[in-house]
Amino acid sequence: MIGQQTTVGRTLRRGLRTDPQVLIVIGSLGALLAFLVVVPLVLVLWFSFRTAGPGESGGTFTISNYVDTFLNPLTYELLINTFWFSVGSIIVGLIIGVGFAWLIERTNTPLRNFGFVSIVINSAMPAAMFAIAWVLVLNPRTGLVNLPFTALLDWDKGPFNPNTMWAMIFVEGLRLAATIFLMVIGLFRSMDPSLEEASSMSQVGTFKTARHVTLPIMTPGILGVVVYIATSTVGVFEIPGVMGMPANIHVLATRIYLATSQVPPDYGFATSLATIAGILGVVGIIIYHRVTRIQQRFATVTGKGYRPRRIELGPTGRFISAGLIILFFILTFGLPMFILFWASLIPFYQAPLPKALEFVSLDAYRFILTGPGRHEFMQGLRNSLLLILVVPAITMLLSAVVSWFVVRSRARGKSILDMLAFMPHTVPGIVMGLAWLIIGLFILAPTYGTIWLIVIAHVSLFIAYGTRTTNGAMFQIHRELEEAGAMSGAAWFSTFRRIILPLLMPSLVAGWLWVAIHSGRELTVALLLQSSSNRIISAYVWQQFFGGRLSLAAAAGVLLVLLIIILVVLTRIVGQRLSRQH
Amino acid sequence: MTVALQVSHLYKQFETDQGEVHAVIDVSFDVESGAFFTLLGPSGCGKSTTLRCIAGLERPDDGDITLEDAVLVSSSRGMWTPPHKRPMGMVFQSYAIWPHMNVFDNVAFPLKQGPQKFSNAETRDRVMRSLALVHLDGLEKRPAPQLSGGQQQRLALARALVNEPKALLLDEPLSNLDAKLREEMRMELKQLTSTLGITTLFVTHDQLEALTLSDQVAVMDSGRLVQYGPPREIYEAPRNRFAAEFIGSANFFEGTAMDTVGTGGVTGVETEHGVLRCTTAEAVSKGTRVAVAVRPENVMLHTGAPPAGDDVNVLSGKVQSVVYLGNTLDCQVEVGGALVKADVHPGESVSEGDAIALSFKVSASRVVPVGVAVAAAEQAG
Repeated sequence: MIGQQTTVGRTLRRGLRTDPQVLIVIGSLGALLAFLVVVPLVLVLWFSFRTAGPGESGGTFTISNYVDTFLNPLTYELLINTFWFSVGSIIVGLIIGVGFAWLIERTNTPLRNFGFVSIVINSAMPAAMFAIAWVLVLNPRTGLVNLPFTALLDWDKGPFNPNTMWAMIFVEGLRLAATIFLMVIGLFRSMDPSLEEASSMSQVGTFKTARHVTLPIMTPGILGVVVYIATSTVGVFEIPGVMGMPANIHVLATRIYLATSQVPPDYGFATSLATIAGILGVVGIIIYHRVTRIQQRFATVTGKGYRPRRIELGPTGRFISAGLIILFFILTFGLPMFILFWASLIPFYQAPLPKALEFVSLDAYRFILTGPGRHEFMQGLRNSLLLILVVPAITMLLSAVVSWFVVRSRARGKSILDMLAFMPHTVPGIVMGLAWLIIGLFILAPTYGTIWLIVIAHVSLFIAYGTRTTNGAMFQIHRELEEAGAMSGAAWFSTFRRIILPLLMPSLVAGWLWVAIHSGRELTVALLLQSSSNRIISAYVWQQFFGGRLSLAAAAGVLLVLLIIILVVLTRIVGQRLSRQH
Repeated sequence: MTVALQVSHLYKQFETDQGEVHAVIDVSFDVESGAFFTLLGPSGCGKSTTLRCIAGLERPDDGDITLEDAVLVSSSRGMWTPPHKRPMGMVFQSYAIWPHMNVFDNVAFPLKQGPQKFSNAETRDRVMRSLALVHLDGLEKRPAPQLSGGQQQRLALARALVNEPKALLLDEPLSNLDAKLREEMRMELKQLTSTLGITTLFVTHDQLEALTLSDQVAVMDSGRLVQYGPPREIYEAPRNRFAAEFIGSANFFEGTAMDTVGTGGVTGVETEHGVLRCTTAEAVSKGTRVAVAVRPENVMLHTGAPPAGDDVNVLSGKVQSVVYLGNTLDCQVEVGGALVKADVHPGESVSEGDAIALSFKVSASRVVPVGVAVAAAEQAG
C-alpha cells in the first residue's frame, strides 16, 4: 500500500514535466506568445535597420534610418517636446493625485465617496474624447473659459488656447491624476498606520507628521509610480494627437503616426523613432523594478488591521476640501461631458449660451442611428462590441493558462513565458500599433482591414495586464487543491478546467471587465490599423472630429461613454460582490 | 499613593460590515502613580481599543479620561485632546520603527519635532541616555530596518521614553518576539519601569506576562472590565467564571447558594456532588445559582483516609488518566460523571483506575456567579 502511494506521487511529480498534454500546451503557448509579442517587436527593430520598407522587395542592412533620424532637427524637437510633456503632465498629475489620495484616504473630508466615484467615472471617458472636449472648452473664441473675455469684454480672442504645450500638459495631467490617485491610495493603505501614530504619540502634530514621517516613507513608492507613469507618457498619443498635432506640436507618438499615415509612408523614420520609444520604455521599466525593490526594503510589518485614524479637518478645511473634490469632478467629467453633449446637440458648434438654444436638436443622433450615417456608425458599434466581447475572452483565458505555468509548473522556460507576457507593457502602444500595421500589411495580409487584426493586436497589448491579475490569483490557490484533482484521477486539462478555472473566476471576471473597458476605448492601435471596413467607434469619433463633423463626433462619443459607463458600473458591482464574498 | 490615570465610564463602538460592534462598554479604572497596570483579555475583548482611547488614537463615544489633573477626554464637557498633545509615550505591537531613519533619528524625533525645543547638545545627550537605558548605545548610526526584532523593540521603548512622558503605553509589545527573547524582555521591562517609576499601561493576552509584570491586572471580556486588582487577588479570588477560566485553569461545580452572606464569607453550595462549603468573592443571596471554582493545584488526592473537618470539602471518584509533566502529575478524576482536574506532586502514587478521595480547602473554593444567560435559561426552563 505504501509502495503504491509513492509510485503515484512520483508519477504525479514527473507528470508535471512529461505529461504529453502539458508539453503540447506549453509548446503552443510559447509559440503563441512569441508570435503575439516577439514577432511584432523584432519586425520594428528589423525594418529600422533596412533600406527597403515593409512590402518592398530587396533592401540591405543600413543604419541610415538612424543617421537620418538623428541628423533631423525635428527629432530633437520631438524628444524635447516629449520630455516636457511627460514631466509637466506628471507634475500636474502628482499634485492632484497624491493630494486627493491623502484627502480621501486620510482626512475626514466630506464627499469622500463622491470623490472616489469621480475618479472611477473619469476612466469611462476615452482620452481622445476628453481631449476633444477640452479643445472645445479652451477654444479661443467659443470656449467656455474664454467666454468672459470674448462675450463680456468683447475681445477678439480669449487668453486660453487648446493647441499649446501648456494646455496639453494640463489635460494629460488631469487624466494622469486619476491613475496616480488609484496607485497612491494603494500605497497609503499598505502603510502601517502605527508609523504615523507613533509620531502622534511623540507629541508631534498632524502636518509635521505628514512632512517628516508619511511623505518620506511614501517617497520610494511615489517614485515608483512616477517611473511607471513616465513609461506610459512617452508613448501617449491621444491628447497630443487631438491638441498638439493641428498646431504642429509633435511628440514621439504623433510623429510616428504621421510618418505611417502620410503618402508614401516613411517606415524608416517611423520604425527608428519607434525603436527609440521602445528603448525608453524598457529603460523606464528597469528603473521601475529597481525602485520597487528599494520600496520593499522599506516595507514594514503591518500590525493589527486597524483602519488608520483620519485627520480631522476644521470647518474651513472641510469646506475647502469639499470644494476641491467638486472642482475635480467638474474638470475631469462634468464639464467635458457637458460640452460633448452640448456639441452633439447643435449642428455647427457655438458656445453654450441662451442665444444658441434655438439650434438645439437631436439631428446628430438621428443621423448616426437611423439616418444616412447609420451604416458607418453601426459598423463601428458592431466592431467595438466585438472587441469588447472577444478581446477579454481570449486575453483572460490565455492569461490563466500562462499563469498556471508561471506560478505552478516546474517546467523549464516558465520565466521566459512570464517575461514574454510582460513585455508588451514596456513598449508604448504606438510602437505595438506600428508593429501590427507592418504585420497586417505584409505578413498576415488577409487580416488587414478586418476587425480580427485589431483583436489580435489588442490581445497582445493587454496580455501583460491579464497575466499580472491571474498570476496574483494563482498564488492564492493552494497547490494541494489541484493535486487532489490529480489524485482523483483527472488529467491535467480536466483539473485545469474543473478546479483551477472556477477558483480563478473572481479575478478572471475582474480582469475581463478591465480589458473590456480598455479595449472598448483604445484608439492608438485601432487608428493605425483602421481601414474603411474595420473602424471602431473611437476611431469613428476621431475621423468625424478631424473631418470637421463635430456634432457627429460628439454624438458618437457620448454614446461610447455611456457604453463604457455601463461596463465601469458592472465592474464596480462585481468587484464589491466579490470583496464581500471574501 | 495618588491616582495618576483615571478612566471612567468609557464607551466605544465601531461601525463594521456586520453592523455595530461594541468594543468598549462602561470601562472604569484608576491607575496609581508609578504603577504597572495591565489590561488582560482574549483578542477582541476591547483591551487595545481602551488603550488607544487613552492614547487618543481612538475617540471614545462616551466617558472621561484624566491624567494627573489634566482632563484628556470628557464627553460631558465635550473635551478631547488630540494624541500629539498628550504627554504619553507608546510602544506599538509592530514597534512602528520609521524605516527611513536610523536609530538615533528615530529616538531624536520626539525631541526635534515635539512641542518642546532642545538644543542639539541636549538632544544628543537625552537620546544617548535613552538608548543606554535600553542597551542600544553604540548602534545609533545603524539604519532602523537592519535591527533585529528584539532591538527594534528596545528602540521603540527608547523612543517612547525619550521625552520623559507621564505615562507609558505598551500595546502587546512582547507578542512578536520568540519565547526566549520574550522572557528576557519581560524581566527587562519590569526592571526598567520600576527603576524609572513611570506609570505604565500594558496590554496583553498572555496571563503569565500579566501576572509576573503587574501591580494591578484588569481582566476584560467582550468589551467589559470583568475584574481588576492585584495579580494574586485575581488568581486566588476570581470574581466570575471568565476570570477564573482565563487566568490559570479551574474546576467548576454548579449549584445553589444555601445562605446569604457578604464578601469573604463562607456559604454552603448545594451541588449534585453534595454540599460544598466555599468562600465568596462577592456577596451572594440564598437560592441563587452559582458555581464553585477550584484550581487544580488546590485539589488533593488521597488513597487512604481523607482529612476531615470544617475547613475542607471531600469528594470521592475514580482516576481516569494520569499524565506525567515533570514537576507535577496532571490527573483527571471522574466524580459523579464529571471530570475534575488535579495537579499533584509527582511523588504521589496515583494510577489510572484507582478509587480515590479528593479534598480541597474551603478557603480555596471560590463562589463565582454563573453566566447570566445560563441562569436565565434555567429560570425559563
